[in-house]
Amino acid sequence: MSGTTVDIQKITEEIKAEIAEKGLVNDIPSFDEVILYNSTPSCKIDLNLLKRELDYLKRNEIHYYREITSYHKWLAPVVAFVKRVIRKLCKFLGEPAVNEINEYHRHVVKALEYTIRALEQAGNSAEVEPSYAAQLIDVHKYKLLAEQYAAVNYRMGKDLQALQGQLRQLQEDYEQLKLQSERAELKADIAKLRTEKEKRNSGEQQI
Amino acid sequence: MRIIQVLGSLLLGDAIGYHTIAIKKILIDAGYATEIYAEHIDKQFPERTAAPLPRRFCPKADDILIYHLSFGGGLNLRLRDWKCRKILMYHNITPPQFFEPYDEKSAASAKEGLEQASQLREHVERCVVMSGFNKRDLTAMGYPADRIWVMPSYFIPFENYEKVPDVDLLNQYSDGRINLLFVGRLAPNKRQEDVIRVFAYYKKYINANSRLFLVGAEAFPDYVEALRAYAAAIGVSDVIFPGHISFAQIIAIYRIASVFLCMSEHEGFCVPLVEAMYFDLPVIAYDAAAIPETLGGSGILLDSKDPGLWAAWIQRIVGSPELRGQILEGQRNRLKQFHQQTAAAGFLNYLRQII
Repeated sequence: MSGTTVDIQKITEEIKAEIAEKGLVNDIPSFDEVILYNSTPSCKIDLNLLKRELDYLKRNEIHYYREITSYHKWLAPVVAFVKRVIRKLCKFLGEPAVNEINEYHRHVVKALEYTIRALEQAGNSAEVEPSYAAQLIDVHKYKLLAEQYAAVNYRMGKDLQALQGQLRQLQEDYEQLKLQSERAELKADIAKLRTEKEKRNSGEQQI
Repeated sequence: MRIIQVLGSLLLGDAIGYHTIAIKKILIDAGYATEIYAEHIDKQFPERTAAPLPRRFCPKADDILIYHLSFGGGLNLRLRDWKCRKILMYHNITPPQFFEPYDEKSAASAKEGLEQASQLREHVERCVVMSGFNKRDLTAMGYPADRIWVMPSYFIPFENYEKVPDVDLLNQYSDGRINLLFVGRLAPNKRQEDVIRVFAYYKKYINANSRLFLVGAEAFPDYVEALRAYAAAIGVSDVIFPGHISFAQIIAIYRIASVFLCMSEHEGFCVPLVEAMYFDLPVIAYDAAAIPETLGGSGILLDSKDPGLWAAWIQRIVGSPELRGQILEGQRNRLKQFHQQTAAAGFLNYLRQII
């Protein structure tokens, strides 16, 4: 140790006493305080709009199962049945994606609720002006959110592609089934006609 | 037998880079066969300063390998495969939580580095560190204390500080204002925001005729932007971020500065404090990590970050030649302990003991 000859403790005490005597207050906000509370005007947020969007998110959950209908004149029950089969077959792909979207929305709702509460507590009822510093300092959080969003989007895109492929295949199968069903109906009609013809023929013979 | 040094990056203007090159020179002068290998070598270094680390690097069994560890990466684990005598020169790794809000990659690298440092425990014969703080880090990781040597100092290029300072910069800022200074890369662990806060207080309540220089590489763009935004938000002007400047300009800023402020919270050693001592610049520093050891009882060491207290200390130093003289006397005495020839002799002595 080189041993400084300055009595740091003594001078520090003197300074503290001076500060107390003069009643000096440290009014320079800290770095963290600027992030949370500073409000240098830079942009405006419509809190009502934010609340409306939040309400929409809360009210509208996405469901994998939805009503299946068909407007086909004769084949409506068959079409509806085939659609149900398709839905059942695609459940393993579609339902997790839908759940993920709902989970994502729940987080967005929480984040918005938290933001609105914080803004209201800060005394901003309608318009809020967050600081430029706060926006910059929080940039990493938005980046994280954007990355998560991109990852979910990418997975959903992949799932959607797979679903579309499955759907194409099922549509082809459906067309085949439809054709077979029409053929079967035609055969049945022909058989019916033949029976009727035979009945008519046998009636004529009896006469 | 060769004494080989291996490190990830050999960078110009970096304390570790200069330290590595200084060790090579000391070893050559002492008659040892030696070489530096690095994954990345700054192109500004003269040829043959160091060699790129080959993919198949095979030191001989009787070679002594000094491995410089300062961050995470695949190279750290390659050390396990080299069949030779190995010495870990641990320069400390900044805890990841400092970087997390600003740079996930750096945070991940720091985390990886700390884990790897711990894993290397069984693979190195001895360790060399530059402070007791670093030694405590290693012992906490399970390294045996009796195998860790605390080297008194980094090898510091004092001869470079005698170069001619940048005259334009010298003239521009020698205008009677009080120039406060901190030197160190703009990184969250260095807490430049606290220096800005102290300066804001000083400028507002004590001396408006002042400015602050925050000299250092802008390694974390988000953090630097936040610092600028913070200065703007609290309404403090005359905070100067010179960015990447020449060595002559750095010397000029040291020469025009009145007080050196260090509020860093994590340093394995703090070379800029020694530089400030060299330039006869009174130091006020926050009591954290290896800073008390670097100051060695000199300078003004405070255990609080209260801006009012710091600002009052600055004013006392600036306003009292007697106090300033006392502080500088202590710092000059401390500087003598960083005598480079003594440090070189100590290093060679240590090597001879273990060879």
